[in-house]
Amino acid sequence: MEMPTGDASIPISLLRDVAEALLKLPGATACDPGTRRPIEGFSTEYCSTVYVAGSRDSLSWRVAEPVRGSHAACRPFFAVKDEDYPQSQVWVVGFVHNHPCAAAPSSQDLSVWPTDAVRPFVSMAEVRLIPGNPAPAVFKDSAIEMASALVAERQDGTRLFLRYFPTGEVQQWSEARSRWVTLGTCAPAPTRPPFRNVAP
Amino acid sequence: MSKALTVAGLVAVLQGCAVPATAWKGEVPWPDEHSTRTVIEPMEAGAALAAAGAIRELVKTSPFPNLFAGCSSPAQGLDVSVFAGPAPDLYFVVVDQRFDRCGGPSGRVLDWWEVYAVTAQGDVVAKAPIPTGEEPSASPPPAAPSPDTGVSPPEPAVPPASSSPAAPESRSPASPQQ
Repeated sequence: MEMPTGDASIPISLLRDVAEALLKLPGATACDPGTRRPIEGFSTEYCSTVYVAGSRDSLSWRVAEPVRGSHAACRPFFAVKDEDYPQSQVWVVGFVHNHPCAAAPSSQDLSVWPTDAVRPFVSMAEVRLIPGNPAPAVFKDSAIEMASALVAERQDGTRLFLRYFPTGEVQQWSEARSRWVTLGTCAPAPTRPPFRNVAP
Repeated sequence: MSKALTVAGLVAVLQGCAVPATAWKGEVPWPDEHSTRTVIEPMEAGAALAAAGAIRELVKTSPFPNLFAGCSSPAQGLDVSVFAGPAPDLYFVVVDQRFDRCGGPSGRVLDWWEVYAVTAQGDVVAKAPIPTGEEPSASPPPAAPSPDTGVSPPEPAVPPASSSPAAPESRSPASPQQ
C-alpha cells in the first residue's frame, strides 16, 4: 500500500485491509457472549508486524503474515524479511493484532515495541519516536512514527480500529468524522488486584 | 591390581553420578554496603515460595517456543509481584514480562501476563482467567470519548492501562536496566 499523504502513522486504509483479512481467520471474533471473555481453545488472537519499506520518495506500508496466537496472547515477529527491499530499506513500525472480545489495549500491549530505545516504562517521552535501522524511516520530509494498532469486531458487527503510540497516546478511528480521535494518553500500569475473575 | 582398577572405576562412576556444585562458577563476590541493593525487604517467607511456584508454573506452561532466548535463565526475563488476600497462606502472584534484561525490548508477547493463586508452600492452585470486557475497573480505561467524537468505545478491559495524562504511572524508573 502506497504512502497516503498527511499522516506519518499507520493509515486507516491499511488497517481496513488488515482487519478484513485478520478478522476472518478462525476464532478471531469468537467471544463468549455471556461473559464477554475469549473462549480458551477457540477464540484466537492474531498478530502481524507493521513496517514501511522503500525510500524517501517511495515508501509503502506493509504488514507481515499474521502469526496465530492463543485465545489471549500473541507473539509477533520483531524482524521482517521483505521480498522487494533489503533490510536497510525496511523499518518495523509496530504491531497490529485483534482482540476477540473487542477489549481495549492491555498494559502489555502498550509495552510491546520493536525497540526499547523508547523505554516505554521509563521515558514515556512526549515525542512520538521514529523507527531506526539505524537510519530513521522518512517519507518526503516527514519521519514515520512508531505505532501499533488493534482491530476488532464488536458484538453488533461493527469494526473497531485503534492505534497507539510509544507515548501512550491512544487513538480511535471515527467513521463519522473520517479521522483519528485521541481517546487519551495511557501508561502501562503494573498488574495488581482486584483480580475479580479468579477461578475457584 | 585388578581390584584397585575396579575400585578406581567405581569411584569414577560415582563421581560421574554426583551432582557437581556448578550452579555458580568461580569465586562468590560477596557484596559490601556499596555494592549491594535490596531486592526483597524482609517479609513472610511463604510469599517467596509462592512467587517461586508461580514462576516455575509459568515457565513450564509457556506456549511460546524460545520465548526466553537471550536470558541466562527464564526468570531473568520476568518480573514478579506477590499480593495477599483474605485467606491466610494463599498468595496471588503476578508474573510479567521484563525481557529487556535479556537484551532487546521489554515486551515480547502482546497481551501476555499471568496471575496465579499459590499456597505458601509454592503450590499453584489456580490461574486467573483473562479479564472480561464487562466489568468496570478500579483504574479507568482510556478516557471515554465525548459524545461528539463520533466513536463508540472499545469494551473496557480489566485491567486496562491506567489513564495518566501527566506523569506516567510507569514501573519504577529506578528499576535496573541490565
